[in-house]
Amino acid sequence: MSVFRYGLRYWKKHIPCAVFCQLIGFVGLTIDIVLPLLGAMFVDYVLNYEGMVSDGLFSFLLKFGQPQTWRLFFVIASVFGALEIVREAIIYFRNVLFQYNGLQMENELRDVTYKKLVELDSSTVASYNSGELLTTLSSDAITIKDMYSRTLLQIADGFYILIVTCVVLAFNSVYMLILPAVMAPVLLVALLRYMRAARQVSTRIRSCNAALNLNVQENINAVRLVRSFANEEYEENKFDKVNGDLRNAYWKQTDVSAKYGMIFNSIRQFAYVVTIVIGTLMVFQGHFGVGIMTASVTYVLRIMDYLTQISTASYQMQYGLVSGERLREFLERKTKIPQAPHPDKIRDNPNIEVKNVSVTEDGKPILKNVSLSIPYGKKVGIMGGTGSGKSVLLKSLVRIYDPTQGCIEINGEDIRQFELDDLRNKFAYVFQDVFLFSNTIDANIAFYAPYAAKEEVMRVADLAQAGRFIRALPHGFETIVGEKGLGLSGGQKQRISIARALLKNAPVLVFDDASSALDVTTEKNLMKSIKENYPDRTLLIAAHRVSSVADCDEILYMQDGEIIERGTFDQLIAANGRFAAIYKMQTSEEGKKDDFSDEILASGREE
Amino acid sequence: MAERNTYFQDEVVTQEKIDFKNLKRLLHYAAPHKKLFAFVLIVMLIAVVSSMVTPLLLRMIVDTAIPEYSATGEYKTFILAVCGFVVCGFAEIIITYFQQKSLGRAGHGIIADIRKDIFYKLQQLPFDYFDNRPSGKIVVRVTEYITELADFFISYLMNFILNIVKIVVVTVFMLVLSPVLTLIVYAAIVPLTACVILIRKAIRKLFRLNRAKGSNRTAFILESIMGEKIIQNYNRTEFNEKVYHDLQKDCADTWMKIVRRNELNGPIVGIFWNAGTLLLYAISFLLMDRGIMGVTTGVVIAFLSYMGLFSAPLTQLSAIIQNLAQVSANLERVFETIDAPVSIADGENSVELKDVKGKVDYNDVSFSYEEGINILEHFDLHVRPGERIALVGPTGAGKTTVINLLTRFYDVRSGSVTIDGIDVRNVKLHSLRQQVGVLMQDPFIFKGTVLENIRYGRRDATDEECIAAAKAIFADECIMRLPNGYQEELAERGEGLSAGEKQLISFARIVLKNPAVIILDEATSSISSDTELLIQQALDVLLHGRTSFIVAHRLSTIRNADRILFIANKGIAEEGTHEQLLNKHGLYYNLYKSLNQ
Repeated sequence: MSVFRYGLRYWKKHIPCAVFCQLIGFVGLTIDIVLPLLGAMFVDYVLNYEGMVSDGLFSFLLKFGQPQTWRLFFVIASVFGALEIVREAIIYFRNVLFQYNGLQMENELRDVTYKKLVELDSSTVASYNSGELLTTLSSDAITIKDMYSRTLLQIADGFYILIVTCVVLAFNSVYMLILPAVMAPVLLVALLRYMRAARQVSTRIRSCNAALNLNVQENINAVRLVRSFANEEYEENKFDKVNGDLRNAYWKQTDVSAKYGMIFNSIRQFAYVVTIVIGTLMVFQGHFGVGIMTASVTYVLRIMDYLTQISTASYQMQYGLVSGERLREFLERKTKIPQAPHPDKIRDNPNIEVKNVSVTEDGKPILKNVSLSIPYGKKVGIMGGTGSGKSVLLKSLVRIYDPTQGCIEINGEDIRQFELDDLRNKFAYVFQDVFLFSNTIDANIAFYAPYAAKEEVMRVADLAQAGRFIRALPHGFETIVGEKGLGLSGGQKQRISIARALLKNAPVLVFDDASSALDVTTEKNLMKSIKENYPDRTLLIAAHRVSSVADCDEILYMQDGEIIERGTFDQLIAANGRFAAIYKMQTSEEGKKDDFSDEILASGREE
Repeated sequence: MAERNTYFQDEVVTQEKIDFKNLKRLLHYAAPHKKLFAFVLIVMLIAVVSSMVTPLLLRMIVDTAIPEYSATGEYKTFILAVCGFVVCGFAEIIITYFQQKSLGRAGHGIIADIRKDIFYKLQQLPFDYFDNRPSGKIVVRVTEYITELADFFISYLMNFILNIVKIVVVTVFMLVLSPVLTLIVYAAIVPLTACVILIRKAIRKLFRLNRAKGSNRTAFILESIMGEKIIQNYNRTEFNEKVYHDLQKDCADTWMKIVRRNELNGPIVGIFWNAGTLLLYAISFLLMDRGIMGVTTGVVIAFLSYMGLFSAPLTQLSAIIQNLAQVSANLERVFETIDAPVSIADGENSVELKDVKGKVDYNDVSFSYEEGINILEHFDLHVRPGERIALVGPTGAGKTTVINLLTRFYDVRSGSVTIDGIDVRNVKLHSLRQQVGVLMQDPFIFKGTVLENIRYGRRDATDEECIAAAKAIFADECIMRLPNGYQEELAERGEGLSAGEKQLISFARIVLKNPAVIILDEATSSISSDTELLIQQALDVLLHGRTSFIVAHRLSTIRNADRILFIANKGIAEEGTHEQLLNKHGLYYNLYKSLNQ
C-alpha cells in the first residue's frame, strides 16, 4: 500500500485529468448500460406487444408512438442512434486522453529516474547490476504508468458499471439482485488470494528478467574474450540456465492464471444459469416480460464480466506494485556523496590541501593518513604499484570517494561544502579506463562543451597528440566510435580522452594513469604541449613511468595506501629508496626508457 | 570501419508490409507442439459450438418453454433447456482451463526456444556485427522483443483461427435461422472491415518507428550507466538529462500518433455494429409486419444473441491483426540477427589440432576489411616452432590484422594461414582457439569471484590449478591482498580493480589455458613498473618453447624477440634481429635513431 501512496506523488498532478476522463467515461458506460433497455423496448413494444405496461427507464418514449408502429420504432431508433454516437465519441476521446495523461506520468518518471542515475555516486551505481538498472529506468516506468493510468481506471470502471447495473437490475426486479449479492463475497475471497499469488509470481518474473538482461549484456560486451577462449559453449550453458529460469517463472504464472481463471469462470457460469432459471420463473409468474428477462440475463452476465475484469486488473496491479517497489527503492537510495545543503562556490583558483585523509571501502583501508599540499600551479607526480592508492587519492579530490577520516580543503574550505558541480568544474579528470560514447570523435572530445567550435576541438586534439591520427581516419573527426572505442588502439583512445579533458579547460588537470598506453616520446610531446599551453595550471599525474613525473615539483611514491617516499626527483634519487630502484630499472639497458610510438612509427611510413 | 549505428540514429526499416514469411517462420517454432495446438484447437471449437448452442437454448425458452408453461403449466422443455445450459457451462469451464494452461505453457516454451536460437547465433557472428551497433540494440532483440512474442502463441494464433471459425459457424447458424437477416448483418460488416484495414495500414509504419526509437532510448540508457563517471566528472548531467528527455519525447510523440489512430478501431466497430442492430430491428419489424414466416420474436432474440457472438470475434480479430503488425516489426529485427551471415565457421572436414608444434606460416596472404582497401598484400611469413616474433610498425599498418588472421577472428581474402601445415580454415574453431592464446589490450572481467574469472581460461581447471596459474605470474600476492582473496566477488566490468590487477587476472587465464601459440596485443603497456618486471619474467617462462607473436611498444620486449618484423606497406618491410635491423640502416634504424634524439 505504501508503494501505492509513493507513486501517487507522481500521479497526483494527473488526477484531475484522469477524473475528468473517468467522469465522461462513466457517461459513456452509462449509455452502454442502458442501450439494452432500448433494445428490450424494440422487442417488447415494437415487434411483439403483449399488452404489458412498463415503467422502465425509457417508458416515457411510449408517449411518442403507439406500440407496434413505425413511428415508435423511429423514435426509439433515433434515441438509440444518438446515444450510440455520443458514446463512441466519448470513448474515443477518453481513451486518447487517458493515454496522453499516462504518458505524461511516464515522461516524468523517466526524467526523475535518469536524473537519479546520473546523480548517484559511482560506487552505488556499480553495486547495481545493469540489467536491473535498465529495467528500473525503462520498463518499470511503463508498468507503473499502466498501473495508475489504465489498471486503476479499469477497476474504477468496473465498480461503476457494477453499481449502475445493479441499480438498473433492481429497477426491474429486486429478485434478480439476489444472485450477484450472494456471489460477490465468494468472488472477493477468490480475488484476494489471486492477488497474493500474482504478487509472488510477478516478483519472480521481474528478477529473472533482470538476470537475463545482465547475462546477455555481459556476453555481448565480452565477445572477443569469449571467442578467444573458445568459451561459446560455456556461455551458452550459462544462458540456458537464466533462460530456463525465466521460462519457468512464466509457467508458474500460467498455472496461477489458469487456476484462478477456472474459479472465476465457474462463478460466472453458475451466475448465468441461475439467472436464467430465476428469470424464467419470474416470467412464468408474470412479474415481467421476456424482453426484460433477456435483458436481465445480459445484465447479470455483464456484472460477472466486470467483476472478472476487476480481478484481472487487480492482478495486473501486482506487476505495477512490484515495479513501484523497485522504483521507490532506487529513487530513495541515498548517494554516498551528498551535496551540502547550502553549498558554496569555489572562488579563484583552487589551492588544495589534503589533510590526513584516510579512505575505507567495504571495511578495507585503501588510503591511509595521506597529507599533501597542492597550491595552484603545482605539478605533482604520484607513482606506485597496483593497489597503491594513487588513484584513490586523486579520486578523493573530485569526491568520487569521500574521506572516512581527515579532510580535503580548497582555499581553506572543506570540499564537502562546495556545490558538487562546481567542484567537478575545477578538475579535468582523465580516467585510467577509457570510455568513449557511441558518437563521433568530435562529439566525444567536445563532451564537456557540446557546442564548442570545431577549431577548438581540433586544437585540443593536436595538443593531445591525437590530431594527426584522427585526420588520417576515413571520416576524420566525424568518424563514429563505438562504446568501447573499437577500431582504435589503446593509445589513440587515451589521447582522445586526454583531448576531452583539455577541452574542459579546468584549472586542475588530473592524469590518472592516463598515458600508460602512450610511449615515452608521445608522452614527452604531450607534457611539453600541455606545459606550454597551460603553464599555470595545477597538474596531477599518476603514472608508472618515472619519465612521466620526473620534472614535477613534488613526487610521491605510494604503497598500500600510504605515501612512503616523497620529494623532488633529485631528493628521491639521493634517498636511494624504492623510487630510485625503479628509476634505475627503467633506464637500464634492459628497460631503456625509449619505446616506439604510433606517431614516430607513423613518420617511418612510406607513402 | 563500416557504418556505425549510434543512439541517435534510427535503425533503418527495410520492409513495408506485414511480412508473412516471418510469421510463417514463427509458426515453425510451434511445429514441435503441433499435436498440442491441434488438440487445443479442437477443444476450443467444441467450446465455440457450445456457446453457439446457448442462444438456441435461450430461444427454446422464449419460444417454447414459456408459452408451454402459460398454456399447459408444463415445464419439461424448461428443464431440458436448463440441463443444456449446465452442460455447456461445464464444458466451457473445463475447456477454458485446459486451453489457458496448455497454450500458456506452450507459448513460453516456444519463445524460450527462439531466444535460445538468437543467443546461440550471436555466439557465432563475426565481430563487425557487434562493432556496428551499440550493445543495447542487440540486447533488446534477445530480451524485450522476444518476450513480446509470447502472446502470439498464447492468444493471437489460436484466437485468430478460432475467431474465424466462430464467424463462419455463427454465419451458418444465422443463415439457417433467417437468410434475410443474415444479409443485413453482413451489410454492416463489409464497410466495417474496410475501415479497420485502412486504420491498420496507417499504423504499421508507425509501430516500426516506435520500435526503432525505443531501442535508441535503451541504448542511451545503457551507455549512461556504463559511462556514468564520465558524465558526472564532465558536468554533463544536465545536458544528458535533456538528451534523454528529448529521446523520450520522440518516443512519446510517435506513440501518441499510434494511439490516435488505434483508438478509432473500437468506436468504428461499435458504430457499425449498432447500425447493423438497428437495421436488424427495422427489417425484422418489416418482415413481421408483413407476416413473413420464420421471423418470430424468438428468432430476433436469437439473432441478437448471435450478433453479440459475432461482435466479439470481429473486435478481437482487428485487435489481433493490429498486434500482428507489432509482432512483425519485432520479428524483423530478431530474424535479421538469426539470419546474419556467419562468415567464420567450421568447414565440413575441419579437424582438431593435436600435438601442436607451433609452426606457423602465412602463405601469400592478402586481406582487407573493406573491399578495395588491402591492408596486407602477398604477405609471406614462416615461423619456426618456439620462435618469438615481434611486430612493430605504424598504426593501421596491419600488425593487429596479422594476428587476427591467425585466430580466425577474420579470414584471409587470398592465400592461407597454416599451423603445423594445416590451413586454419580447416581446423575446428574450438580447437584453434584452444591452441592460440590471445592477450587483449582491454581485459574483460565479469561479475563473479576472482577464481571464476581465472577459471575462464580453462573450464575444467581445479581450484589448485587456478591458484597455481595465478602464482606463476606473481598475481597471487596481489589477489591475496583482496579481502576475500580468490573468493573476492568482482563487480560487473571489474569495477574497483586497477588496470594492473585486471591484466594479471587475464594473464592467469592464459597460463591456465596453456596454449601452443601465444599472441600478445599491446597487453603489457598499462601495468605499473614493479609489477611489470615480475610479469616480464613470467612471460619469459611462459613464452619459452612456445611460438609467440607480440605486438608491443617496449624496446625491451622487442629486443628479446628472435625476429622482429617491421610491418608497413601492406607487408613485411624489414625483418631481422635488433642488431641486424640496425645494421640495415633502414626504417627500423631511422626509428631507433629518432628515439634517441
